[in-house]
Amino acid sequence: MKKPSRNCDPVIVSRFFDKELDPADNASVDRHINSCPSCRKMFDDLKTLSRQVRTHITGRCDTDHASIEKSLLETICKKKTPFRERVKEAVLAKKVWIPVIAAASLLLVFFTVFQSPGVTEPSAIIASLSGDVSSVVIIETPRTRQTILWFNEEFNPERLDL
Amino acid sequence: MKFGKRFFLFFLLFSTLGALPQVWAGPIIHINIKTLLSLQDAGPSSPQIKSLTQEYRSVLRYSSYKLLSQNRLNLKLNESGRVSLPGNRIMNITLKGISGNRASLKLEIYKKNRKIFQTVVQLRNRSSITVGGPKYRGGDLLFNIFNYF
Repeated sequence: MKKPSRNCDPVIVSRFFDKELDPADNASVDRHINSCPSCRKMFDDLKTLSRQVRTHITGRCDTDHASIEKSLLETICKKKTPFRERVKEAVLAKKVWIPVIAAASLLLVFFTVFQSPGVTEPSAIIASLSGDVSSVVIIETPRTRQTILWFNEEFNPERLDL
Repeated sequence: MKFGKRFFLFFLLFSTLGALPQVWAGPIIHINIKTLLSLQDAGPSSPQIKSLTQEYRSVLRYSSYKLLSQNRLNLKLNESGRVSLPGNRIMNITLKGISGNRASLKLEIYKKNRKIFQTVVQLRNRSSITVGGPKYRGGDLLFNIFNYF
């Protein structure tokens, strides 16, 4: 460790203040500070600065961050976002599009598959048939399975009963 | 929110009240009968029956279809409705019942007060059956019977 010189060294005074010197140097510098007004002033200035910094930090640390956070959260919760704003935010967030598209796809599939029984079964089932007609033909259209009942109106002495 | 709740309650109340007469009166079926004349001429088909004629063209060989008349019937269970048809013909339709998505209809065709044809069909809801064949003015008559309930 370098010994403090007679030409007062602010670094040594600062290290003395921070208690970074070994005991021998510490005793030597202590004696010098007590005898040298310039170094004494430097030491006092350092003490004052340190005190001020400590006081400031302690002052700031006294702040109740938890209460501030709580108060802020309460304010935010109390402030209701208007419905229109919420909808706008939801739409702009784009998160809403995924469920909307999924729901639309499901509905489309449902209405396509389950709501078109016309393709799977004929429009009409003939339960019984009778009359004074010569012939009857039952036709079904290929696309929508519409039933067509075609009869020949010409009188037939042999009555048709099906 | 309060308005929404009130609106919903009123909607529920009115829809319930609106449905009550139908529940008391039993099922009602709405029938639409289109009378068409199919011809082998080069004339144009009626534009009102475009989708119907497209279906007919896939199985019948006529060049044109003309809409002669249209009639509506609202029938309750076991109630009959009568429709006048061309050539002194009459069609009598009776609702015999509703089972699932099909209505059981009795169709009778009379010519000069003589019953010439009778059938009972189970017609799917929002579907139609076409009865055809009677001759009229150089063509054949088609009766398209559409129902919904």
